Amino acid sequence: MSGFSLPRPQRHSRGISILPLINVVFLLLIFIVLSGVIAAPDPFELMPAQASAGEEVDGADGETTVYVSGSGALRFRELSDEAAIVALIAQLAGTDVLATLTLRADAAVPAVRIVKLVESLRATGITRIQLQAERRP
Amino acid sequence: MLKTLRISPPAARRRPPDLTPVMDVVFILVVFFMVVSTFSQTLVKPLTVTVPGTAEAVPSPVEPRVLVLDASGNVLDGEPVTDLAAALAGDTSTPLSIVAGNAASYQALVDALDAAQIAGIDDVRVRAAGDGQ
Repeated sequence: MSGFSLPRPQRHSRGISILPLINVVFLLLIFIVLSGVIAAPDPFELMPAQASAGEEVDGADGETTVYVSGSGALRFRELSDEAAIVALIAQLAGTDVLATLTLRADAAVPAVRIVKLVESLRATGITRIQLQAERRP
Repeated sequence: MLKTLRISPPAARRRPPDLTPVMDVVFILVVFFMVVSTFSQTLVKPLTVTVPGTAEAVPSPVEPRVLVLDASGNVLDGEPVTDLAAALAGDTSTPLSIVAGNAASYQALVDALDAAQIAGIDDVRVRAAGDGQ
């Protein structure tokens, strides 16, 4: 008995199509660009306080933000000494450069420390001080 | 008569362009944006703090409600409160004076400011415990 055999279909050895991959990656790129905010990193590791009400802003403007770490260390621009920071803010208080001062503090800092700091900053003549918090998930 | 010799051109095989370099660049862009982006939403709260002994520290005509933040919890006008937002919601016209105790964390202060903002109290004062006002 003689069998018959079909000719094998010729195999096209083509590379894997990467077009769907590019589609997905482009979508990913667009998503990240739209939903993320490019912001300067904090000068030190800090866990900001959380709040559920407040005005929403895009990230922190490093030039007008005073950072307070969990241990109470301060940072404003390149300065970390409290007296120097207060002096610089007093110098800038009247100008357009520093219309609003933002305070970005770690949640674990004693509240008294923040209140005293804000009081000494207010004494420099700065008119608007705002506290920064992250939206509570 | 001259016969023209025709050489048929090789059959043009249309190959798709090689997309591997594009993928390289796009992957690098994806990684770059993932690393530099922040996704958390940032809120700001305007803060008004009256400094005792300055011209701005005008005593309000109405006696403010006093909220003391301390390790034992929040005390509003001498009464311990657990649900701050509900306790503050009752009376929004009276000014609120928040006194930050020595053991209170910044988060507790932000929580109190948050509750006052949600309750709709406009006149909120903050001071540290020990500062007379």
